[in-house]
Amino acid sequence: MSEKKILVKPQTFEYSGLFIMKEFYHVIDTWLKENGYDKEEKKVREKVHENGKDIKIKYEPYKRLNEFTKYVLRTEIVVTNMITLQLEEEGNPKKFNKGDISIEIEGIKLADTEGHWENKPFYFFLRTIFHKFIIKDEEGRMDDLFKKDCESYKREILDYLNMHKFIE
Amino acid sequence: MGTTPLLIEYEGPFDMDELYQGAFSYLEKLNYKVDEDQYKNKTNELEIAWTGKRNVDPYVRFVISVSFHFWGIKPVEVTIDGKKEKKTYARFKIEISGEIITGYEDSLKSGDWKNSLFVRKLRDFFNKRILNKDLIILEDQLFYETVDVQTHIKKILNMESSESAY
Repeated sequence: MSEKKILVKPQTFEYSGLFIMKEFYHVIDTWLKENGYDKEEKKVREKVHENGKDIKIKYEPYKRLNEFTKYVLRTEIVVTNMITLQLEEEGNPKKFNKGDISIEIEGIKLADTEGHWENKPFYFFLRTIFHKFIIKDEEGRMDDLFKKDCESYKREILDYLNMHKFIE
Repeated sequence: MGTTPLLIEYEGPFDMDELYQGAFSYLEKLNYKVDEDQYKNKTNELEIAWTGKRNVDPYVRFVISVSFHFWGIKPVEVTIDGKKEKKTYARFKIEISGEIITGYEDSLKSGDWKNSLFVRKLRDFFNKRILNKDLIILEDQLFYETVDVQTHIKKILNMESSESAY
């Protein structure tokens, strides 16, 4: 069993209006790839009904600090009643989506993901000493960088959604 | 060694033939030899399971398993861009997973020894101590091939999450 530490508490934000879902998904994917995160899509669910589409996506993209520790950007995106509209952007017709989006982001640090250092009390003691005295500074620095990553990720998503706020 | 299973859940109208043929032919395009292990057809319910195998080298083999489970299958007529088309409506789940098999071929011609404890321990030692780093790289490669298959299936279903940067 791995040790889990929440570095960035779950933050939820909502948006209602116009966006392009495929582009939005691609923006998130591109940010994750450019910042060195491995893709881990836990579940993607789409339901088509009379009022539009409902989409639920759960991601847990991660970045390994070393063999022992990894940082996870847990993301959940829920889109409800999404419909497709044809509007004009700069005189050119373009397809947009309209609906309600709810996004939750959480930053988690997982240590000892394979449970090797919890098998025996002596190993657990060694692991604690190692963390508290040997790699404390380095881990602290990496934790700060991860918190900045979470902030940048959140900004990227909000900037994309705000871009479409004023399109009529 | 296995990769995290990737899931797709969908409920709505879709083209069953396009999904079946498209997914099958894409695996073949990636040089996998695909076998259909299961085709269970009950009233309004269908289960299909495929196994695709690709030999990376004489010691390592990639295996991608795809399983489909459909519920509430019924034919429907939908209007797309003003034209009426016949589709299938269902709720379904697709699971895609990968696995690395080592020593699939009896290269040592060990015959009856191939299942012996000694050969198994030798293979484990070889995988964990000598080939470990290479297997980690291959596991990554296999994972992204399963992501590729998942993305292709999403494109067939015209899902909103079908654009991938990986």
